[in-house]
Amino acid sequence: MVRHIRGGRARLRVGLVGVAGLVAVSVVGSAGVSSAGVRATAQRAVAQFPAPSKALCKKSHYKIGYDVFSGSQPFANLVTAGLVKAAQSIGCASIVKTIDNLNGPVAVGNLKTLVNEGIGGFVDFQVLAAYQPAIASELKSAKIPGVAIVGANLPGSPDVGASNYGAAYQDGLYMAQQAKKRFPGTVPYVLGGAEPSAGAIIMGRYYGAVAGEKKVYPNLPSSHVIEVQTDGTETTAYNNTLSALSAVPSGSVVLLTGVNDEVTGGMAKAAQTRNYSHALVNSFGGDPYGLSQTCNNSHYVGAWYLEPRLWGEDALVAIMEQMNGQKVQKQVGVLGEEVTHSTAWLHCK
Amino acid sequence: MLRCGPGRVVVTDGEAVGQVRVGGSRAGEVSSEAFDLRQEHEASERERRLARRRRLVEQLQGEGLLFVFVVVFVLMWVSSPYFFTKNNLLTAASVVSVLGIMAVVETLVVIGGEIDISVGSVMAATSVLIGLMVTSGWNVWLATVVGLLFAAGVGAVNGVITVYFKINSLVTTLGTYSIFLGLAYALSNTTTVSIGGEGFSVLGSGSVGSVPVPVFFFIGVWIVGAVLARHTAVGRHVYATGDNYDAAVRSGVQADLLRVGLFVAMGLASGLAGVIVTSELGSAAPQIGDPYLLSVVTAVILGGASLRGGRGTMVGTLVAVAILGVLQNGFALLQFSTYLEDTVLGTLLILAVLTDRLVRRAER
Repeated sequence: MVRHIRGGRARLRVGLVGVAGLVAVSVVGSAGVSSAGVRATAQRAVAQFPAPSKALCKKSHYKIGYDVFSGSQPFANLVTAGLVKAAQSIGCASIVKTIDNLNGPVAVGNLKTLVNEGIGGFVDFQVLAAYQPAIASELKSAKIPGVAIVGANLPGSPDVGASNYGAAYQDGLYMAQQAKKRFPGTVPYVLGGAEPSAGAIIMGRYYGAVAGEKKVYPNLPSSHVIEVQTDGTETTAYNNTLSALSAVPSGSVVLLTGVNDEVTGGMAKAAQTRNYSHALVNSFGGDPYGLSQTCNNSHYVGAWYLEPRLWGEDALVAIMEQMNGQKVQKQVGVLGEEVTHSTAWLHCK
Repeated sequence: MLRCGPGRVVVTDGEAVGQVRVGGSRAGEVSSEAFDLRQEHEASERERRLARRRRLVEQLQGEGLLFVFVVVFVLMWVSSPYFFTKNNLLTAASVVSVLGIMAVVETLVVIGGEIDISVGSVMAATSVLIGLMVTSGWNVWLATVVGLLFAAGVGAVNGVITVYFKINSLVTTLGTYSIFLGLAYALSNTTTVSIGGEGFSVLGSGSVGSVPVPVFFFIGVWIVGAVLARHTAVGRHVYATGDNYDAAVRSGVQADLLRVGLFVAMGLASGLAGVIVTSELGSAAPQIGDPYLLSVVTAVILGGASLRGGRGTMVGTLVAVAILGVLQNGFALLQFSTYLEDTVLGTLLILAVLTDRLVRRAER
């Protein structure tokens, strides 16, 4: 893990071990949350990637292609917004965006179109690993550098994104530490909202959260660890958590977190419906819904904030450095940070 | 060859042998009259055989479903010590109630010879609409009423397009599914909005005694559906329309109006489901209908309703909904793979359709 601080603003990043990415995190724009405030408290690493700046502009203009798996998925929109805004801010880069709607052949076709339009670099935000080799092959034959926002790894190109396992580990660790403080001497039940259909990368979030919780409670019995399977929606998370809680004695300390803010929200509501007054919740992702719950729901210890806007910035830096002929680090993942009711930029009342 | 009982006709290879006594009258040499009689007997015997076979297959279908329910229930009971507890069973009932509300009305729609697959998107659009109104300062109850009216309106649109423009209901509702899901995402900007209010949360997560409120909604809708289907002229007309539209119209049934009414009821039920889920979660979001996209139709078909119309029972749907509830609850309790749940559901669905096919064949 690398941690660097520059100019009072630092972002924590980890080298990834193949478990980075994002598929179905319903994290949405930070309405009501000051972006500047976020940046003021975020921690930034500078070992390989500086913050985007005009220093990247070695040429007069950089035409960068960007294919994204969704034009509506909240997290993807934030990443896209981060990328486009960063490009605008440095002035010498323009982003040509295409959307493939999770259709691999369309993604490959989009890349071909972008190449025909004369792009000099390509940012690839995919979740379908099966088509990444074809995209890598296209890039190779067009002699264009690429960078993947994972999702899915792009062979031969660097990856940026979240450290799913690492971030979830921190999420679980923080919540368990809070539980130990608030309910000393008890052995909690931990319920993790998983999303198996999203694949191994996202399952890393479930495993990471449980590992973090076990770090604090090393002797946690296996019957106290409950995997709640979801499809990434709040509704299913609510329904399945309601059922799973039947295995948890009433009055128990219950720790809840899920693969995204909505899943976590559904789980929290289920615990509330079944009257678990000693339930602690740590949201994961940090979309406005998760952050609003952090402010308004006393069961929330906070939210693990994945800083999606910064992913786009990372991608921009990674692709422009390559277009400038520089080598870049293979894998960089944003670890994120815990935000709580007392975090200044949340402005909780 | 036809052989009958006392006072009987014995016909061999088209030739009547002996004398015939029918209704006390004595006939002479049997010729064309006996031949007609023989045909009548053949037909009535065939009818009786078909009726017996149909009853048998329908009985097997109904009891088979109940058998599946018992097997699934016992398996879960044996597998998890937490399954057969009052709280857990009430939880399972609560979870499945939302699905059940829609399945009851969808059963009527399917019996009427139509199908509505837009239910998930109507739920989502209703939820988002309520969320938007509440965040704009509307009273949550007023917003709920408007949301329900909107849902009924979507049902009316489905009905009018299907009935009066003679578009297949699968196509119509596939279209409106996309339209309203898209609208839900667009209007909400894909965000989840919190909806507060203790009173409103009672709809989804409140309870009377220890019975969750959504269960009462389901029971209420089911009773209305069952009474309507079995004991009213409207119910008989729905069956008649689904079984043979032309015959129903010739018999004076206002089949078109009836079908539009069914779609309106379906929209209303989807809207109600959306309201309950929004209340349960304390939030409105465009994704809330996703888990219900296909499970409603699955429950209806599993319950024995025929996609060709004219057949289906509320009891069948109730058992099917119970099976889905037990499966969902049991799989969550046992932490089984959701993929396995899908596999089990798919298998049951295929079996249900095959059984329907058998019933149809038995009628021929």
